[in-house]
Amino acid sequence: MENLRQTKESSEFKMGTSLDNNKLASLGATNKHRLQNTWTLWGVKYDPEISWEDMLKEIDSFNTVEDFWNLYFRIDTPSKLNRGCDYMLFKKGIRPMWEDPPNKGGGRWTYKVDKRSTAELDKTWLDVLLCMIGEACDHCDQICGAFVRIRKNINKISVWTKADAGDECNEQC
Amino acid sequence: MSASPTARQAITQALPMITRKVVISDPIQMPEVYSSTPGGTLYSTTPGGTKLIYERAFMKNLRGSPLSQTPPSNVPSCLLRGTPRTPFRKCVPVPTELIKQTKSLKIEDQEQFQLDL
Repeated sequence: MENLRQTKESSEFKMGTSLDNNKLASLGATNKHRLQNTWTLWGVKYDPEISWEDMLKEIDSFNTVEDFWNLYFRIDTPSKLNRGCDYMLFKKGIRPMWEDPPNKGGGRWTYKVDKRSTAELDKTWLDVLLCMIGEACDHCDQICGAFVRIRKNINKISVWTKADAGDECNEQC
Repeated sequence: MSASPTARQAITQALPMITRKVVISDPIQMPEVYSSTPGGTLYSTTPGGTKLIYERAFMKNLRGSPLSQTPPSNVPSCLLRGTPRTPFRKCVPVPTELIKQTKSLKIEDQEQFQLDL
């Protein structure tokens, strides 16, 4: 008698758990806000023993707003990075280096951030990311990605454009 | 015509159209492109339209969503917030492409060695 009751309880618990898992899975699948592009975050951490290309690491990719926040909440903000480190967010398939075909022949806009204001660095970097992934500017099709560089004297945030970007695109922003 | 560039997915097409009013207090605020709506974009805002556009404020509102709080599964541990500093090469595996490049470099080294002989 007792054994039968325990069996029933355990089976009911399993059924409940599986139902909850199905609901959670369906919620995740349907309620996330999909982005226009898939984006890949890269990182460079300075290491004098190896070449720059070996320092370059692919961190993660995402294509929804919620997955962007998941990643953003879990990694250090730019102001926490050591000197010589970079973050890059580029469209998936584009590597964050000049030699990559979409970048070769293109240009970039660079914004220098005052070293004394860590809040401005983090806020500006987040605003650039949100504008890029949200396609919130007129020439988002011409953008390959963005850089944030942590250096000794001055920090920089750059936006890289494609090789075939027109004059109007280069003038704006 | 809706001025909001917020994208809508197929599942949410049943929801009523959201209209956002943009108040123009100065002619400078009019968009440069004649065919675009104030506060809008060049692209169509038809429900289920072709381009997914989100404003910064809208995306910031999604920070508190439970779906935004799930930790990503494949981020290297040394990059997670609050962990002590560790060199990349000790915690991130080398990509296969770089392994191939390293092998090709070794082959070149061998050739140089043979040339010396």
